[in-house]
Amino acid sequence: MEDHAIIELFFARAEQAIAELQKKYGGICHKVSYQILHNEPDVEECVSDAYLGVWNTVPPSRPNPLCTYLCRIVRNLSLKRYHANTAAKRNSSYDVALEEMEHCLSSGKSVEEELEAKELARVIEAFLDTLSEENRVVFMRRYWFADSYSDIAKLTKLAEKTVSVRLVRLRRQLKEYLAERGML
Amino acid sequence: MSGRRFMEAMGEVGDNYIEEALQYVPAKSMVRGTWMKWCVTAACLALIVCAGIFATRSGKEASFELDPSLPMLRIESGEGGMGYSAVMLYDISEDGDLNPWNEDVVLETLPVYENLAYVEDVGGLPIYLSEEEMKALAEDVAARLGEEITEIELERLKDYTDAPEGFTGEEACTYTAHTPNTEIRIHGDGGINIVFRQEVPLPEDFIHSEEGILQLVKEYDKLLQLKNPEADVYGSYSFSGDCRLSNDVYDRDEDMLQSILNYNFECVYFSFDDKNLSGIGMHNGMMSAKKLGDYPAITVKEARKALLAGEYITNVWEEDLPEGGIRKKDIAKVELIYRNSPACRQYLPYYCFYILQPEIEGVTMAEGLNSYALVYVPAIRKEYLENYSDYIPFN
Repeated sequence: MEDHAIIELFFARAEQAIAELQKKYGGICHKVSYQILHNEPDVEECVSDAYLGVWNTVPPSRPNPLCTYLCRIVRNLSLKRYHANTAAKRNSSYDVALEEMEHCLSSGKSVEEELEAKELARVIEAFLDTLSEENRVVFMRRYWFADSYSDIAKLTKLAEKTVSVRLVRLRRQLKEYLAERGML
Repeated sequence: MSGRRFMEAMGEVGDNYIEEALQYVPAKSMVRGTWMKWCVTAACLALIVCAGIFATRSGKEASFELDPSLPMLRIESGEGGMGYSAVMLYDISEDGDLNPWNEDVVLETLPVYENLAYVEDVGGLPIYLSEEEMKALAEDVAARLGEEITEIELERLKDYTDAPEGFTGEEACTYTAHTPNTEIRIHGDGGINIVFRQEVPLPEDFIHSEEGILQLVKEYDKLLQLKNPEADVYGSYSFSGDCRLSNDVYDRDEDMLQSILNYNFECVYFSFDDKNLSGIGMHNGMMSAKKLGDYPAITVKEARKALLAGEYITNVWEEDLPEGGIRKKDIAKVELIYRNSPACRQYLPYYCFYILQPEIEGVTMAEGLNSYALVYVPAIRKEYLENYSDYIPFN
């Protein structure tokens, strides 16, 4: 079903809306959440909550593109659950990606000196704009989607070892970019 | 800034970046088979373009218009280039046939790459990856082999040669990771050599053949991770007729161009010492390659025509080529290859023709052994080669 038709179902408050959303985007939602949580019951809960999130916001919103809107809700809910699961054994792709960034960006600056997330996002976007399409996709798939090297290799048709080295280079470029702007 | 803060901020980036990553499809070449999917639209466009060309034609051939977005390229045949390129075989069929390209494949465009690891005046030593990147690669290889790194050695540019202008000499050249059973060497362009400290004995019934090599590929699957490995074992002879076998493995892809790139840039080979496996080599050409663009290609028919008209490049001396010029009957084989040695600034595609050489005065070869000179015709339109007339025609 086309996105606009699904959105119309939400506007009509038809129960079928969530079923159609799940049918079309259930797979990608599950993947985005699983890469972070690595725990099926938690993933199921977050994805269900994400559908509810769409139900509660559409209308009045008319998200376009719908998939991105939904993935963003799934990711945010999954991250909240991730950080709440302090006692849980962490073994997800997100763990490794987070650790990579911790090593790359560890800074002595105090919290007060750091930018708000939205401001930092604008800086990240400016950095992303300096990259080629391929590199931008590699970076986003790793640090937004928390894809594994293997997943990224399959998507981009690069060798897995090329992906790992490419990410080393991109993290270094990011570090230099942030340092030049006095943020590290 | 903490990693957590960064990852949270990533959640606020614009939809367009997420959408791009969701919808990404790697670019494919315009191979004639897949081009047919676009034939209605493309045919219409072609008609419009042809109508425009015919309208302006003045009895002379329509001039080719360069795409200004594509950088001009240069032919190179210096150090590390073609050398005195010839192979000795009893019959051309003995030569390797692993190349996925064949004369039925027609590619509208071919990618050309810049060799980011090329540095002038260092004798072809590749310099590109940082120490950190080489370390990551070595750790990845060690993990795949189930080995633990116990010691590392880093050789820098100054350990090999004087640093040229713009370089300090501190640049990383070779990173060697020592493990209990191996030595893992990472080169500046991402190439990997694994040497086994003690040769790995091969099975009693091992034969250095395609099947034997594929068996090794299977055994080292965790290291190599090839999805559709194809292997070949081929021979080359010395003047006295002694044969030396070599092998190559690459990952065949459903996309023809990807197969060609894998074959030329991502090959794997096994080294043997008597009845033991002594090492594994992995080319990683794409790791230090930056695509310059997809350039209009010429067909093999056009390349053959150019060859017969004397428009080719070779380092074989004129007197070692057929007298009076190369004729059709002298062509034993043709294949599409990329010149990809570390001494190349750019990785260009060429049609490589194997030309049966006449008897060479003063050279004694084993009875029945033939020598084939390798002669090259650029596989992209010559209008993009700014020094074409410096090299072609050869004689």
